[in-house]
Amino acid sequence: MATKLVTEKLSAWFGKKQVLKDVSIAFEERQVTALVGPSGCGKSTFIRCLNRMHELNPGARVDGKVFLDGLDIYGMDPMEVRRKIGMVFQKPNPFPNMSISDNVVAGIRLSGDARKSDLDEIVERTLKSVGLYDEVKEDLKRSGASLSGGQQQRLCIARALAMQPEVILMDEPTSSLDPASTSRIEELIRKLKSEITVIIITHNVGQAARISDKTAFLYLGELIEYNDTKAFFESPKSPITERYITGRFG
Amino acid sequence: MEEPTYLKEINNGISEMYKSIMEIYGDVLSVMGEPDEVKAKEICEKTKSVMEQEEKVIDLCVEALIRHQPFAGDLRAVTSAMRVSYDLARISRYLSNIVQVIGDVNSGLSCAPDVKELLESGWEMIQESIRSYLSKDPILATSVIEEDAKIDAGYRKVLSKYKDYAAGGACVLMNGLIARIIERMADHACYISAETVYMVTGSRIGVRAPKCPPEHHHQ
Repeated sequence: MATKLVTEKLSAWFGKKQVLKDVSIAFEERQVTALVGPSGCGKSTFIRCLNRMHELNPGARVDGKVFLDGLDIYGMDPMEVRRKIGMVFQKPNPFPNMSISDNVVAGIRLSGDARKSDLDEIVERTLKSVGLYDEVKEDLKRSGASLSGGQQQRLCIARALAMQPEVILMDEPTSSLDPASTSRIEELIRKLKSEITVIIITHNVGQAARISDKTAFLYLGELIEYNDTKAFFESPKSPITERYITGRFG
Repeated sequence: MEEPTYLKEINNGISEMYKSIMEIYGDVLSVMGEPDEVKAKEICEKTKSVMEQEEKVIDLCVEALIRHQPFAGDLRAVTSAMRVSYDLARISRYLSNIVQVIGDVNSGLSCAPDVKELLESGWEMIQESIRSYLSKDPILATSVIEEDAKIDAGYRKVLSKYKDYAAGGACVLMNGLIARIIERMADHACYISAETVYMVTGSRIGVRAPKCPPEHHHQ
């Protein structure tokens, strides 16, 4: 399995407070990797370092390296990094004043990458890839905000996919969704990995076990354990991991 | 670490199965001295109860998997309990089979099985294996697995003792069959012990695979 994204001794701070300590991890291409750990352990900060969003916070600082296909992303144009490494957030956040189709191509329009004639094709293809097209095709001009929570989240994933990213980061993408919508997103994530590398934060260890190929456990800003998901959940090496995933703390 | 309630319930189920099997073992010893149809029927009924206890443990395990989605040591404890409950049910069946063989083969004959010593050794292994499982003791479990060679040797000794006495008829058959059953019971003691090692350490010991004879190299 080829390595897609690598961090080397990645550390991060908010002002003087260090929230990430020397995290070194290699994410495999076209695999789903789940990041688990108690609240405040640095998971969100970690993935925000992976597409250079952490540095947007006032007083935020990053040390260490992040390589995408061997190239240091901190030596690249941040916009280019964020195009290649997309992100989906916890709460679905479609642009409320935009239609469904405009939401899908909002990023492309901003970057000026596509011709207008291509956009309809991109909307249809991307909405189909997230399983939303048949549900909304009759009225693509209605507001994205009028969709259900689960549909909105799939729309946001479509918006990220429209940019044709190589890696997609997901920060608890189903935490605000009902079981049926969660199930659809999980199914979509499993499907996405045939083309894209997926890194997902989840507080639901059951979800990590269901959808990921590899799982990493972060605790107090440090990487405690990283392993194939089956081995991780069946026989974790670290007693801290064991205690966390069996619900003894966190 | 404090054990979750559902694991305590599952282990109580395993303990109950063990108590029932101990009772059956005592009955089997008494029948080995002298065939007893009434006792044999009682043993058969008790064995049926063990099967019901096995179902109960499996139900608890399935419920634990659905309701609690256990991971790590808790997951291993649940999957091991499913296997161990099956092993215990098999052991109770084997004990019942011994009584059946005594009844079927020894009917009207006066020869008592002379494999009692082998049965006692096998039973000791079973007790130790369950003790290792309930106390989560992989060292004791490993020692049980090592003991299996002695039972295998005892079984072969019985076979070699009787193979030249084909004319011995029913007694030969009975002792051979019972020795075989004991050998299988001891194997299940090893399986239980291997589950203890897995449950505690996460490592699998391949004791369930058949012991194949070594290849002969012809010159």
